Amino acid sequence: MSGGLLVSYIALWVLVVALAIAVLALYNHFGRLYLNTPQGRDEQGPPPLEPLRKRTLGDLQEGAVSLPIKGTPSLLFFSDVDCPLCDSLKPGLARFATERDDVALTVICGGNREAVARWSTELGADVCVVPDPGNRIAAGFNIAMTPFLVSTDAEGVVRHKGLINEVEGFAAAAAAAARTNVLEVITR
Amino acid sequence: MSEVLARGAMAINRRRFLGRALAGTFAVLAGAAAGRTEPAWAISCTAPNGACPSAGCNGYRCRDSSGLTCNYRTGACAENRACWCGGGHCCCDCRCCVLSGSCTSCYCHGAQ
Repeated sequence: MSGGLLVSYIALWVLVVALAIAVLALYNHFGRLYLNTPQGRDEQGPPPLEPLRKRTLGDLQEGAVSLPIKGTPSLLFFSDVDCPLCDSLKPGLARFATERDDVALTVICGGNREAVARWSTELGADVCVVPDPGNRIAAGFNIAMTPFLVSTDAEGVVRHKGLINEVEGFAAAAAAAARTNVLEVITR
Repeated sequence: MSEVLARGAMAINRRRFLGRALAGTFAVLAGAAAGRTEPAWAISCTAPNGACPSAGCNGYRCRDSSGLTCNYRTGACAENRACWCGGGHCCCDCRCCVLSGSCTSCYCHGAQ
């Protein structure tokens, strides 16, 4: 292969690689745009009124947490160490965990184990905290933004899911999780 | 199609180093093509009329100021929540109105 041909051959391959990267970046870009639209935000999280997919996660104490938690209404709070809005909800979350021992509370927090441990110190021992490096667990639940809350009833069925901006959202989600569908009870 | 986009975005996001490299590459290419640059995190906020005036924001929170009333625009999505965070930055949907009564939907963004 002559010198000129070799140079153009290499240049074309470089261009192909650059274009492939640009196409993937564009794909990511439009995906992110969609995720942040009202429709995209609304569609995040596990499907409502369906059993939460079974998962076994490791908490900060290196114990196993099996989801969904059955036998009691439960809340899954998705957070991140880099989420300022989540930080503002921490005091309310700690208070809710103390006052509502009838609701199982699990926090899934994006970040490495050490950062999550520092972030969760003020939550207290009533709250189970699961570190989520790289937000992989959240992505597995179809969640790409925080703070996000999922509530399940005593049978592990998703009763509420969505972004949460105020402390009152915890009580509302817990009420949804405790609500029993009368028709479901009759037809069982 | 939307589900494909959403799943694709989250799958790529798991590979953090690749995601950042791709976003950075696209930002450079897009900026060069458009003739302007924009912070990468700004694209995670959505509102019909772009960013709110700075006087209407306190970081990512909507704020009232002299001559400008900015409230959270919670009716934009079914779950009725106006704020969310990602990548260390947060966005809030706001509705800002001036004294004349003219209002616009915009977003506030920031790390605090």
